[in-house]
Amino acid sequence: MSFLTIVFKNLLRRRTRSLLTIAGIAIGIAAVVALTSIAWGFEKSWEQAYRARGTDLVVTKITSQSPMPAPFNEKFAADLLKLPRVKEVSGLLTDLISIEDAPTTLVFGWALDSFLWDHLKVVKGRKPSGDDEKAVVIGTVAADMLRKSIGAKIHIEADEFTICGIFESTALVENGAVIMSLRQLQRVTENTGKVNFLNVKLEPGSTQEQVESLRKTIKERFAGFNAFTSSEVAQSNTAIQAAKGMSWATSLIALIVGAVGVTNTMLMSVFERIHEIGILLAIGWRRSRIVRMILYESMALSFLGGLAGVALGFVAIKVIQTTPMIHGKIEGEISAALFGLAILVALALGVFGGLYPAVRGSRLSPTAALRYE
Amino acid sequence: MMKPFCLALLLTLPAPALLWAAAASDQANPAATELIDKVINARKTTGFRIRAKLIVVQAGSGKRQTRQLLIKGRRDGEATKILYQALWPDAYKGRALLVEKSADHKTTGFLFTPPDKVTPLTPEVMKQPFLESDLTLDDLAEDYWHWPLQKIVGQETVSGKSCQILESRPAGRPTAGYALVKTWICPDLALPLRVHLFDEGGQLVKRINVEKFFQQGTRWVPATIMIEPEHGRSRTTLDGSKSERDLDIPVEDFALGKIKSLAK
Amino acid sequence: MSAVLIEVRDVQRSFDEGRVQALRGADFTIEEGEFAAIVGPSGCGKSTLLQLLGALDEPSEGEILFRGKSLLEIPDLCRFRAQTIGFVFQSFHLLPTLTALENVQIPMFEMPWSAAERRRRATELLKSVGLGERLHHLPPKMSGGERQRVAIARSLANEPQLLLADEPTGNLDSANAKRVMEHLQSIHQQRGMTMVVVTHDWNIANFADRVIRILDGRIISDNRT
Repeated sequence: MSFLTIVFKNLLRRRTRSLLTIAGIAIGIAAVVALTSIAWGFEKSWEQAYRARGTDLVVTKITSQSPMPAPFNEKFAADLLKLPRVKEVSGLLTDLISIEDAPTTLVFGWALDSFLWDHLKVVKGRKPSGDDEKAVVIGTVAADMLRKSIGAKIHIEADEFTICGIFESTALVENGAVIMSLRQLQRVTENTGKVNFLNVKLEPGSTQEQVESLRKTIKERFAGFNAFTSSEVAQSNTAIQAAKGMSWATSLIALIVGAVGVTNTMLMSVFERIHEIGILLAIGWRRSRIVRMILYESMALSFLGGLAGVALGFVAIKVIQTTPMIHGKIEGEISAALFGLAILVALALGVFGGLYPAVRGSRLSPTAALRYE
Repeated sequence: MMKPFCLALLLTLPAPALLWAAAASDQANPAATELIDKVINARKTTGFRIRAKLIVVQAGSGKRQTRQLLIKGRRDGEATKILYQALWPDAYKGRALLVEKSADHKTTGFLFTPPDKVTPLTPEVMKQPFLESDLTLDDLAEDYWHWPLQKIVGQETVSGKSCQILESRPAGRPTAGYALVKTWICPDLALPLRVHLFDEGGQLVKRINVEKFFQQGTRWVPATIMIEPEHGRSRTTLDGSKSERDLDIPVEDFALGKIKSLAK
Repeated sequence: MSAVLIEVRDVQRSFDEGRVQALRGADFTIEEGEFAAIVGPSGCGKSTLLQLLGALDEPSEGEILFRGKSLLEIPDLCRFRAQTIGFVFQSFHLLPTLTALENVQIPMFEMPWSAAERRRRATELLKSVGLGERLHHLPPKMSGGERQRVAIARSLANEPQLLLADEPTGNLDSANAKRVMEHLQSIHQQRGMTMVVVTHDWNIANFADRVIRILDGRIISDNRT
């Protein structure tokens, strides 16, 4: 017989209670898994948007209190082109615009000769033919959201555009976006000559160190500007931070409820077994072994709850992804890292929830506990 | 995705507060004056641009109609100009309301209807609804902060915030559509959270509630404003999607020529 | 004469801040290899004395020495109990969810033995008390006599130097009681183990080589046979 046999036999004694506790933990962990997966997926999707563009660095003006960086003079691109290893610089304007009666939509203005267009797959129609054409391409998800198809008119700010193409992007955020020529977006948003992102492409074969050193150079040489790598852009995005914050806050609540459940179960179980703990102490078990027994019991419960929670969470992600509101916009990330995180969190929950009951149990006096029937 | 941003509108009128405070102090309660100054100063800016949606919901059918709005403001010394323009849908596109205030609070301006109808703002015109919503032109143009009788009459909690209730009355017979305006102002946020508008008979005509507000920099700004007439068949929501302040909006933007060009 | 195993020096034990005097002064020694019975009516303080001998409780006054060393100076009393003392209780105190074999292994977790070694030792001990056929039975499915024999096997698990039994036959009929006592006696004889049995029953006391009588918390006689 191993020590764990005792632990499991103790748990099997109160099957219903153990199962209910496992279910409670499972729900908490499922919430953590689903929310974290979606927050991570959201971040990854932004990251993909930049990677897919072949962008090595993104340069923006440092802006506070606004979800979008402030626009600056597009001539700044020429200064960046003079820096070593910089191959191409493409200015773009990005804005969140309330279009007709749709929810706020991401609108990009890209120079028509920019490398940014290279990764878009126009599935229907074509991209705008010239800077003067009042035409936009929209992502497949945006087409659903705006209930528009090719050839339709679309009002953006004070102007009317024709949808000349529908595209698909590897980056999910772009699928929900509207893209037009940089000149047109500058005009309708009254930002003539301005961009709010510069996408920098380095010479092919540039190393990570070279990207990093260029980033430092930009930050040092141009005060008020910041340069990010693709993943940093995603991480510093306020929307992503908000999503992550929400996911953590909700997870925390779920976990506190879970921990209270474990504590309650383990305390009840300790109170029921005062006499037995007395026996164990009398026949020589050290107090630390009593602590370990109770902690292992609560960790076993939370581990099983964690496994069930991960399964439940993965199902929840699939269900959430099929809801019309989310469909196609966010892809939850299901990864080994998430699985590992969920199990670790579950075990931590077990330790946290079991600690107090374990200490209570181990502090019993053997003679008093033996008298207790 | 994100839907923060703000809306100033009624509540952001970049007005010449101090001047007025001195002139009106004989009749206004000093605490009331101080409170109004606080709100007005928090909203003072050289120029602003706001994008918002006006959503009108019919009471019976629940039918929703949206209009996209662009609101611009500019301050020259103590005089201000505010322009409200409809961008969408086509039926409303180009319609505009220009409200100009001189340094001594005289209101002038006009209502523009494409292709070229210009209606000056007379008291009669001011009672008309704006873009067939529950807001009248009066609601957008009248600056009751500058009425001579201002008094704090109590305190109440609105949306979890402690507010002071301000009563504003015009001098003599009301020139505007209302005879009494009660405003619930949260001094901590320097933001009005609720406005009740009464007619000459003392009847409540309209309620305006700030449903959502948030912090932008150091200032608190409304994001969603609900307008509910007491005996109306619809209600209107004003939902801000973007707000920029401390801008320099060119004076030409407020000229009739430029206003007309939007409609084309 | 053999070496002194336990020395009880003027030990008193009171409860409830001195309102209840369970033991009013005990002073005696127990030698290595001795089989002693502590006899007295219920409530006389004999169980308290046994718990003090077993380091489950501490005296209010006086001290107890084990091989010349005060119990108060032993840092880890749990370890001391596990390695030195075996307990047999009146109501067996077995864990109901564990089989006989598993119950006997419980104290062995404190010893540096492998799982296989624990199992081998436990099987042997159960065979030695005549329960070789009942290894995998749960305590609630066993008779009182069988249960107490499991408890005896458990008390011997870590090869203790002292076996303490508190009314080991209190819950048994006379036939089973006799059988349990014969087991204890043969363990004493075969292993030369020091044993202290607390009982109110003179028939049980007669199995011992020495009888200490106790009344109202005081020792009133101490006779070797």
